[in-house]
Amino acid sequence: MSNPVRYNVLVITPSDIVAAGVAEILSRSREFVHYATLPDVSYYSESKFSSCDVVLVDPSVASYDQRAELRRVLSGRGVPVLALQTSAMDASLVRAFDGVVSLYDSMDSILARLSSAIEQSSASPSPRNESEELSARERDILTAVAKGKTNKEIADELNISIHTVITHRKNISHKLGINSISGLTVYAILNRLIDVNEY
Amino acid sequence: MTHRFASYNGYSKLADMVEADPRLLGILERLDIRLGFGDASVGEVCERYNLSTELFLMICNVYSNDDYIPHIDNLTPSDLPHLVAYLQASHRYYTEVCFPRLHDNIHRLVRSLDLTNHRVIDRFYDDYQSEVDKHFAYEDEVVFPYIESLLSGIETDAAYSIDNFEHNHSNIEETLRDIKNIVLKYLPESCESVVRYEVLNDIIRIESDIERHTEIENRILIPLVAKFEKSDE
Repeated sequence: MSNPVRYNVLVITPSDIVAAGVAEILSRSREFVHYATLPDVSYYSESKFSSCDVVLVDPSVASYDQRAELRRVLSGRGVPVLALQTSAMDASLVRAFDGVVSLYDSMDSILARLSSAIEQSSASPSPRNESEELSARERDILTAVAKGKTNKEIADELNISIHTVITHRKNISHKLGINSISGLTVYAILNRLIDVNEY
Repeated sequence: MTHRFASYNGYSKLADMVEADPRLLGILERLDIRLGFGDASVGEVCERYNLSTELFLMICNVYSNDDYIPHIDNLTPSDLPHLVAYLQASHRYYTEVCFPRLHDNIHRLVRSLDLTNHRVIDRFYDDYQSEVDKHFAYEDEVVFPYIESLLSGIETDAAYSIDNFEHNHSNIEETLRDIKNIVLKYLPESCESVVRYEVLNDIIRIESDIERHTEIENRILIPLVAKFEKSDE
């Protein structure tokens, strides 16, 4: 890369030793910056997360609800969340994350895992270098959402999977900066994507 | 650790703090602290108003330091009535001052749109307004009375605990952000410009205040009540 982007890494772990270790490893890389350490997921706030690009979280500090909340906040922005594995972990738990970094991974492999998680997430929405224009497919989906259709109905109609619908919806919200269905509907009406009588 | 610093202490002069961060005026207003306190320190003012200095500084820090994360270790159940009074005053400030002003400005703003869009935005905002009212009403009518009865030792509904609060804590900030982006990015350029700027400034102020208000509820109120519930068992 001619003009390397440095990614902010947020670390969530109750262990000062682990936090210091991760910070040290990140300080040796040119691609990542140690952005902040929080002891616990409950400390999250959107303002603090607004400028991080990737999150490393010790799964033991987060309840299921908190992880879901964390994902809700971050996935809208395309921020990958990796598990920082400190003990044996259930496979279903691992799947809930965008990647896993183990305490016993080498420095190179930790950095590689962070890179690939960012790469994969920016394959869908990349906050840095994307056109904010909606694609034709995204406009179709937005129109359907504004008409009050469910993800399932949209998937059936356009012959795509529900998962794809959800990804498109995330990208739409990310591009427009609008998350609520009512807000998306207002956008669709202002831009004449739907007729107000269909609202 | 970086997330535990606090730049104010009980010996800080209250007037200096307001000078450094004018947003603190809103806190003084909500706590009904009279101006004219001269060079009094925070500790002195709090003593005069029978407030916990620790709690007051925490609230100020939440407003002034983005990196500050409050801890309830030094608070006691005796701080709870003050905290609840502050949060109630905060609700009154939103429902009686901030949102009515935003409501009036939005309705003024959309008058310059064609009738269809005018109606759509009006309806969108009014739906949002009722969502906000419901949110505050829930806290005022369910959560705060629950805490009060808990404190006074009255038998409470055994099925209710502060855990329920978190689950019912709907996110009014998210829709506010949608409204902000619609006003900033998507209303037509023909919209009346002065009111449009005014609306945006209103939204940005409310957004930042509510974010801190939520932080105070999530990080001070809920853990403190949970601690009290446990000690009460």
